[in-house]
Amino acid sequence: MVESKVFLDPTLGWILLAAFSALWIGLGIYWGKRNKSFEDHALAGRNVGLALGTATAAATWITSNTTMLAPQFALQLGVWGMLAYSTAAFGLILFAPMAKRIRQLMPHGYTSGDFFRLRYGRVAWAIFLVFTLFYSLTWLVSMAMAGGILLEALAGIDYAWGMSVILAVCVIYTMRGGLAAVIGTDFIQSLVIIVGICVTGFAVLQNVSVSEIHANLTATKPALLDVLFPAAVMAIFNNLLFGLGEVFHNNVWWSRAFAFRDGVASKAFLMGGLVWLPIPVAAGFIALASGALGVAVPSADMVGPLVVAEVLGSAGAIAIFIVVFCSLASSIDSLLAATSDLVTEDIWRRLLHPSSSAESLKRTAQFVTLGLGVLTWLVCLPRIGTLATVLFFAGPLVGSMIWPIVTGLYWRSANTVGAVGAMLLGAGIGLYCYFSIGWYVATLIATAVSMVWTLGACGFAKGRFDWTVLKEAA
Amino acid sequence: MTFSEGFLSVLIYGSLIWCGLSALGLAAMLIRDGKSGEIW
Amino acid sequence: MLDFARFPEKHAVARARSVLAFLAILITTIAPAAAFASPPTFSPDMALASDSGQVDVQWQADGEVTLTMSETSRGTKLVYKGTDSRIFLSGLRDGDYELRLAGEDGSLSEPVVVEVRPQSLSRALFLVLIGALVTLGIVIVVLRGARHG
Repeated sequence: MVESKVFLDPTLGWILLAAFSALWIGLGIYWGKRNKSFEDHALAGRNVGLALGTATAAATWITSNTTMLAPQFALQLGVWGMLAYSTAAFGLILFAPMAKRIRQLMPHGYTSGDFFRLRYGRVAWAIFLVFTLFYSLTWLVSMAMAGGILLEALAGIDYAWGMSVILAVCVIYTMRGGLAAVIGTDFIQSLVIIVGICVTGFAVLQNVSVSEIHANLTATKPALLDVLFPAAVMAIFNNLLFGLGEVFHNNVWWSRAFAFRDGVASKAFLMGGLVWLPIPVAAGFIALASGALGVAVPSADMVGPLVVAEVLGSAGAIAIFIVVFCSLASSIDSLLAATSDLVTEDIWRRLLHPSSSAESLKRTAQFVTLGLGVLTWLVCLPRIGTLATVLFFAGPLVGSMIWPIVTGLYWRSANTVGAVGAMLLGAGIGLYCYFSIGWYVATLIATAVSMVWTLGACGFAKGRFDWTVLKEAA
Repeated sequence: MTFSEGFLSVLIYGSLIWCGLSALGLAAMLIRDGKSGEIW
Repeated sequence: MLDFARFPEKHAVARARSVLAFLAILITTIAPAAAFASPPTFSPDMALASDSGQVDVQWQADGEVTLTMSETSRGTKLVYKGTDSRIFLSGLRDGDYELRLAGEDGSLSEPVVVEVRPQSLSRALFLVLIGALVTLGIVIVVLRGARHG
């Protein structure tokens, strides 16, 4: 980070932060009034329409990483870097038919944990819970930390304050409004982000043409235009599978599949994926323009703001501040809501208090959201830089769950031995390769190993699963 | 083998225009859902 | 969407900063004027080999510096002129790159040579092949399931 360069006056930064915070909390409280039961709170009454459904799928997938890391990827890995990042959209697109299937098979389901418990039994469920909680909590922590670091770099707001405000705002409106507030604010946030990226992109192109960018890259950074740039090429499928693993297993996406109205789920995920697809290129290409614009880049992770501030001055700094704040909020709120529902449904209700009433479950979910927020805050406060790298371990974990999930949804021969072995072997070997070879093979190998094991187990399976087991009544 | 200038143009302008259209599309869908009372 | 390209180098930066701060104090208290300014130096923590064509160049200097880079068998290029103490270079092709800093008074640093040796292309393409097969498998299971389900 470039602490010495602040793009926005801190007072203006605080005003923007306060204005958006007030807006999100106000909307959260307003939309929260609709929620009477746990079903309303966790799944927005299972009646979300197409527009909100599409926007929430896209907005949740647009994180601060998408808007900030896409330029970094472009600067480090060039054209392939942007394209490889775009492949993450396939996670949403491929989840579209799965969401339809999930709703058919589990009309009363709440979480992805319900699926693992009913489909593969308690051992697989326990492994799933460990994997998914590790992933969700590290994602949450890395996002909150990124929030604090970015607000400090962009507007000189102290790390601890910026991180605390973002987290507190998201906790308050998610607690009060549940999934409805998350989905409602996601719609506004997605529009702000997309319009912001679009306007900034065209503004950059007013100052430098594609032909100048291309000429500058050819002269000074030729490998970024190389079609066979090894560092970029080998990351493509690792990245794609990481994205598939994240979407397929996580309750952020399953809770949306349950929350969308009948007939909407599949279309919303497909369109959400299509809305997301161009964003890494639209947000990332500005990094390629840094050379042609004469912007010196001290560290790769700040290339986006540097280029925008150079071209657009303080208007650009305001735009980037708002876009970053919206992309952080749209992901933190979703993770808080989906993870608290997972803990409430899978641990509190199914393991500890099976006879809880709908009203008490809603209260429990609210307290769990608060608890998650406090936990995240405590972990983020010391600002341990190496913590963000822990998130990379999640790749093999989520990759190893892809095959148990897709075969579990479509094949009656998929079984517990297959699922448990695929998750343990895939994640174990993937993590081993992470350390012995490199991050760029970890998810790929984890997924490949779990595929071979799953296919073998299905091939040898004698029993056939009874789909009606998944229709467990709430 | 390198990515040509034409390819880069199509990629960049294509993405930006796609983003613009999807923002309009989202807004239009919300209005349509609102008219038929199907927002949620 | 996760981020797996950001490997923090906080320690290196912190070390470089403390060295810089120490030097700054030393210079302001001991050295009376720029006439005695020491020549700019590259940070000893800088990585001098890259398999991805990226170099995080860091240095210590008093005031403005000019950073030039010369590639084996090609000419010398101006890379940076200014008062920062760090610049990120990327997109470098296979080759040896000699970097040199010049201070405001014309004093020159010792040069450093950065070796860029890209990863094996055949291994990269092999990984693409495995990735494509695994992904194709997933797509087939989902799409066939969706059609028959």
